[in-house]
Amino acid sequence: MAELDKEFLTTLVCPEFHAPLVQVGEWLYSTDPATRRRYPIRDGIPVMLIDEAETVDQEDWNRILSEAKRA
Amino acid sequence: MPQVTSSSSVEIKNRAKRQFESWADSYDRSLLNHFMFRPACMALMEEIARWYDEQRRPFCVLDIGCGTGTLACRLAGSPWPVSVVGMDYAEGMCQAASAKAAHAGHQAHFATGDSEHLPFADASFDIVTCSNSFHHYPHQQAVVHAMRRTLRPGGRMILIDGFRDNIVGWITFDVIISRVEGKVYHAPWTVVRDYFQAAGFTAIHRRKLNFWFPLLVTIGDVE
Repeated sequence: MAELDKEFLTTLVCPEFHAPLVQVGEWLYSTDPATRRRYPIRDGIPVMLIDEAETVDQEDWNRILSEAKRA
Repeated sequence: MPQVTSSSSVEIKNRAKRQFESWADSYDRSLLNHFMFRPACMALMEEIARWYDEQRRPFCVLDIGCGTGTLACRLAGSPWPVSVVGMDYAEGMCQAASAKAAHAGHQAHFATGDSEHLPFADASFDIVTCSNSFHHYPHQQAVVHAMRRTLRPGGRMILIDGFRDNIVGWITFDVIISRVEGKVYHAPWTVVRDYFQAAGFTAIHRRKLNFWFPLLVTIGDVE
């Protein structure tokens, strides 16, 4: 899985709540604990549409974000 | 612009998306590309050159409605110290753009996104461009506000869309293009100027391109 360019990733935010994102595999996760959206990356291209977002449940989100922070 | 209900605005956007998804493969060879998109791209390059002559520093460009990435590739292949992001509502366009940039060996980034909900942090770009796409947006004022939000101080917005303030433009855009594309709105210059003013742009000015297929170029700065 290719990592998105770091600088490009820092310009991207959740289109709905404007929170910064972290990449984990083929998804971009919102860092906002209240809204917890994730957006898919398809063929290396982030799909930043509100309709394409999924809301991650609290436990999964906590785990994924803490793992991402450690990495 | 006329009031748009939320159900009709979703329908307008979906229609545009379908139109452009099916167009992604043949877009670069179309007649419109020759008469409208290419002159618009040249005008954007001229305006960006003008900005760079004034500012002389590395810069980031966001192209909204990037289509197959023609401007992004030109910029990435230019000698300027520029980084480029292209965004389009149609995923197929972003894929075509990304493939085109990779094929040419250019470094450019693409994201699928909605101009009304820009997926970019505040003050991320020095120049935001948007060419031949604005008439598809059901909430144009909100989009201009969002564009302004993503620009840094010293930044510049360059918007190009159909010029419908003379008889040639009126026939082209309000009669022919509107018939082909359905519910679209080519805003007259006074309306575009008001959008820019309301969003807080300064030094707002315009130029007109082309006799046939006339285009309105609107430019505004962020202080």
